[in-house]
Amino acid sequence: MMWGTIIAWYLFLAGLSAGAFIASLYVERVYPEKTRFLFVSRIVALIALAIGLVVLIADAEGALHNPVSLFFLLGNLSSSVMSWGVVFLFVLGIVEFLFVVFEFMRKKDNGYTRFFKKSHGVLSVIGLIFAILTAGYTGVLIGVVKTVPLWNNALLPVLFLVSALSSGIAAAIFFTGVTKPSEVDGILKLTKIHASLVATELVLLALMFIIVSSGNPAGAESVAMLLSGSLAPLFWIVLVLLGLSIPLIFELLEITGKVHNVYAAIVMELLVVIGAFCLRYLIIEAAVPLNFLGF
Amino acid sequence: MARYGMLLDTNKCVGCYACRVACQMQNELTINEAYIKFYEHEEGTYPNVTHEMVPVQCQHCTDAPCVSVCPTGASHTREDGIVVVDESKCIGCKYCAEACPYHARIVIEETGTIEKCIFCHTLVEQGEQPACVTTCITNARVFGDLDDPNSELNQKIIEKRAMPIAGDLTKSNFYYVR
Amino acid sequence: MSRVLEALTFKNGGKMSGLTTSRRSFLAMSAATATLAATTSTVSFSNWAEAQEDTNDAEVKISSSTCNACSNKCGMLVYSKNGRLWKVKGEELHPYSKGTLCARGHGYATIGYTDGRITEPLKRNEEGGYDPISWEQAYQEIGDKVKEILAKHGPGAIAAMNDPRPSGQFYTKRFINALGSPNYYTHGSSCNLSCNSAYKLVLGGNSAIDLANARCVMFIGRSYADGVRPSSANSLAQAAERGCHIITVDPRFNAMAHMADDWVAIRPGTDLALILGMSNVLVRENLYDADFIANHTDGFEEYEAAIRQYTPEWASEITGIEAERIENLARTMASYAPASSIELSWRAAIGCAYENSIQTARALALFNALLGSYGKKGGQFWGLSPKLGPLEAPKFAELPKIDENLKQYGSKEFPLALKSMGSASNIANGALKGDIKAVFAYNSNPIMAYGNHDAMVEAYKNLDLFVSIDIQMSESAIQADYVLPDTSYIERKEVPATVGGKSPVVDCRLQGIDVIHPNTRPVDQIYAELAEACGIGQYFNFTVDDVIDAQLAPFPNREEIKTKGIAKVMEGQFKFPSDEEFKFKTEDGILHFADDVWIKGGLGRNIEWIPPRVMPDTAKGEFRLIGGKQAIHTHTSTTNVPLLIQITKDYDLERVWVNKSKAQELGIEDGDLIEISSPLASTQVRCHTTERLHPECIWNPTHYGVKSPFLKAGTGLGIAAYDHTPFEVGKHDGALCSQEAIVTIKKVGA
Repeated sequence: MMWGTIIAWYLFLAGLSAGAFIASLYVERVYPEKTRFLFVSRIVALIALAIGLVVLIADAEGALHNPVSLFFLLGNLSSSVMSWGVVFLFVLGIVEFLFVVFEFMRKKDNGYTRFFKKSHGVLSVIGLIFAILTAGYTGVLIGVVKTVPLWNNALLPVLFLVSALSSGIAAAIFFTGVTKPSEVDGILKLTKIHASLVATELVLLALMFIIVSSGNPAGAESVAMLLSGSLAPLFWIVLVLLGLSIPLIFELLEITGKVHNVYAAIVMELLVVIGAFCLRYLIIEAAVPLNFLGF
Repeated sequence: MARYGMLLDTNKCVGCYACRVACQMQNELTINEAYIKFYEHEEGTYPNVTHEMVPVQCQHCTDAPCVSVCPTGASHTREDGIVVVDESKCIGCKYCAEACPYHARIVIEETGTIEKCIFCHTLVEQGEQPACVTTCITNARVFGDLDDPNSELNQKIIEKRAMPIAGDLTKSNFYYVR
Repeated sequence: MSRVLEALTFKNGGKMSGLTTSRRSFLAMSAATATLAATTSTVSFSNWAEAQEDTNDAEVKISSSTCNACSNKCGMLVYSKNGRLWKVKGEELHPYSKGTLCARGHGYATIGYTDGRITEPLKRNEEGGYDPISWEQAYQEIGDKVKEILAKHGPGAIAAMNDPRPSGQFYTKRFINALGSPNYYTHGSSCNLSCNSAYKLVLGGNSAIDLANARCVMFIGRSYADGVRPSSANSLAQAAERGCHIITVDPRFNAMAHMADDWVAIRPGTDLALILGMSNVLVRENLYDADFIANHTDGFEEYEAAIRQYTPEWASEITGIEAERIENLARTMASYAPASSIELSWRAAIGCAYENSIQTARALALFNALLGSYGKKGGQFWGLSPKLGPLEAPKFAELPKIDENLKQYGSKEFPLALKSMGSASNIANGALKGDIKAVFAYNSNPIMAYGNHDAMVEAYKNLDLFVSIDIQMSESAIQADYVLPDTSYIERKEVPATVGGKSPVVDCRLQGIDVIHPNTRPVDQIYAELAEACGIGQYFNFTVDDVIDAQLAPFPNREEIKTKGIAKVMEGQFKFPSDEEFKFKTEDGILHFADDVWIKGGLGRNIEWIPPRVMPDTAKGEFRLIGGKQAIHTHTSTTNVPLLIQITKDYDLERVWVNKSKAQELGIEDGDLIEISSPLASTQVRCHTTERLHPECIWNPTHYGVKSPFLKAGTGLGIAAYDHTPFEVGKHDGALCSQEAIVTIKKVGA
């Protein structure tokens, strides 16, 4: 298989960008006073997207030799998920950029801020739609690859969508909290949503493994690699334990009021972000191509 | 227009690798770039054994997944069914290489683009056969027009009950006798 | 340049090859490499590969030649752009290629561009390095030395050897004969000396198998898919498709065995016993062709008596094959007679492998007579043999008569050995004894390919003169006193060659690409100039074109041959002889079942069982080390071709095969590094465990274990063919006895 860790980074960053942006839209609605949160989350979203694109171009060896080829990137919109991705990322990127510019001008009153406030509603809707499309795209991109049973199933795109949202929210909380801890105190509504996303991820992982194991033997091999093989330590410790279970437990304790520690909460979100990258990495690494030979 | 395909009889293939080298020289590839990959297996226990060598290259599928995933349209199917890569449009994202269940695609070092068996279409256009077909020392390969009911290819497919190697995994135009 | 003292450059059990004060020690290999690097031009394999890109719009030139990778010399077309090779394609008309080419045909065409090419004449210096010298100096010094040896020891002390190719064969033979020496040798002792000697004595010369019409064929050790001749592999595939009954007798399920109906996994070295057992069955059950025996042979009564003791039960003990199966094999072959025979083969099990190979081939030839298959459709036949035109004076000066008391070296000791080949391996013994003082090796790697490497190095040290004419710094070239750089075969025109058979052709290599290294010279020029320096220049006052004109004169379509490089001759003339017409190629046209001639070679008048020289003691964990070929390589000459060696690397083809159950017993798994030990050496190599091999042997592809530091592409891969084979030529024929080698194995680190 030719795709390596770079693709994991790309999918992770694109998903994180989408999730962080959606988080910012939600917080704008529900906690509009948390302007620091909005500022940080939108910058994180934009930077993540930008790094993701740079990383992607760096892996496109043909484009490095012949940059003109990049102009053809929308050349197969009728069937190429990657072409769609170009559109989604492009639109999302522009929207995020417009939001970030506003964030820097929030305290001002000029032509741009007036334009932005007028179109805020439309831009938010466009941004929300394309962020969801981007988050879904990160899973569909590899999901259509028939060669790998671990990828080619109905659950993987859903898993990646949920992970994108979860990692985006977590990144937004983490980076905001690092600059101003009090800003992420008392965002229980967001925490609730996040906890249900993490719980959903765990369920989806389990379901996906069951289904994939019972299908093509290559899929079963992939799952075995993750559960008990060479990738098991990373899977169980970094992803399941540190990246999902411990943060979930902590968030449940927060939601039920049993625990209240902003600093711990910030650390939990970092674990979720690391876990989300780990998920992408593991899914790429555990790819076992189906056996077309019959022996 | 024709729909080109190929047949390979593994009962005749002796694993001599002539097709690999002939292809490399015809297409001016480096020693590490080979369009044809070889898979072999033995079955049974001594002394009741058998052995098979299966060369695999681009199957030029009618519903080629490599074509549908290509973002720039560099990977495309010609009118005559041959799947090719337009080097000038290829960004080297390797999506096609991932999508190909037959692992038929390789990265060309020098240009960073993707290439694979092109059924030697420049030779075919001049009325010749692909290099792998011409060189096969046991005449295990047959090339021709699948849409021509009288072609030697179709006759051989019927006579030998040849089938694509992986059932209906893709609509492959490469038939095997095994 | 540091002068590093190194006793032995290559791991060989740490055995010192006795450092002497001789000039041929392995001193200063690093200095030597540096010297050579300085003289190598900038043209390298990567340059050739890169240059391909720049020539896309160049006009394509197509030229005719024949492949040089092995002695098949398949016809091929050379495609070039701007004087540089692009690709090659098999020639339709040539009987061995029929439009196809094997991997070597393609890959070996690039040999001219490989690193490791010799680009200047070289002279070995005192420190064991190489000094580039001018052609004039090389000729002068070699010529002086030759004259000195002629004066002191006579022409019998000089020998020349080559792996035959059109010009190489012609010029090497003419050169050595012009010196007054009968010592012309081919590579036969490491290929087909044993079997061809037997066939000459029994049949009068090799017959060919009519696969197109055969109903039953048995192969003994021979695989068309490993020792490739493209058209043979094709004929076999068609025969299998047609329903011909194919039996492969081989300790290894080789690359063509899947096309066979029956794999007989015989204990290696015992093929003679199998043939004797099958012969016994044919005789006692009256399944032989009595008419054929009566009309074309004599001595059958003696044979009948001699064969009586070799029952299938007896054969079963020796071969490990059940008696009933041996009976069935014989009966099956008889049931398809006369379109049924055992293929005569080369190398494999009976070309040079065992001390009893010549006897095995003898039994094989007689067995085919029992089937009555000679001269029959589907059996064994003698094809047409085109005759090249004579070379007449004054242009071609008549060669001096060789003293009739001066016989080919080795022919007295090994009277059974086919004289047209002789034993090149035995020349090493001649050097050791001081009988041979000078050796010319053209397109020949005796040090590596004709016997145990270290033994050959030791022996050749005793020569006063060793000249290697080659295109790459082979293991022999690095031992030579003088190395003369040949062009590669597609850089020149050559003298004609004929291919006999049912559809004979005459072909003539034409120049396909520009000369790559300016200071290399084609073989014809080298020999002519060498001859001049040796005082025999008067026998070489002609050009290649002169030879071509003279040799093609008898053919009406000679212009076609000259311009197109190949043409059919004697068209429509072949037919199978009737029974009255048929004659063996022996002097009296008869096949002699009993013959006193064999007594001279230490064998009996009648066929009898003789065991191989050595047998492994399996109880002690011993294995026989057997070797074989691969379709992508030829002997020791192709590992430096990047296109070909890359296949070895990509598919781990240098691995030694070990039977899976045996491996399990020894705790060895597929891919493990194993150590192979014998009294001679200790070598390490990765193994391939398989069900496709007899448990009493391990199988080594005989192309690897490169020992020349200049052949970098294949360095470090696999083990050499004869590191474990003691150098002792067969006592009946002087052949290599390549598989008289016993080893033990164990996992490294165990």
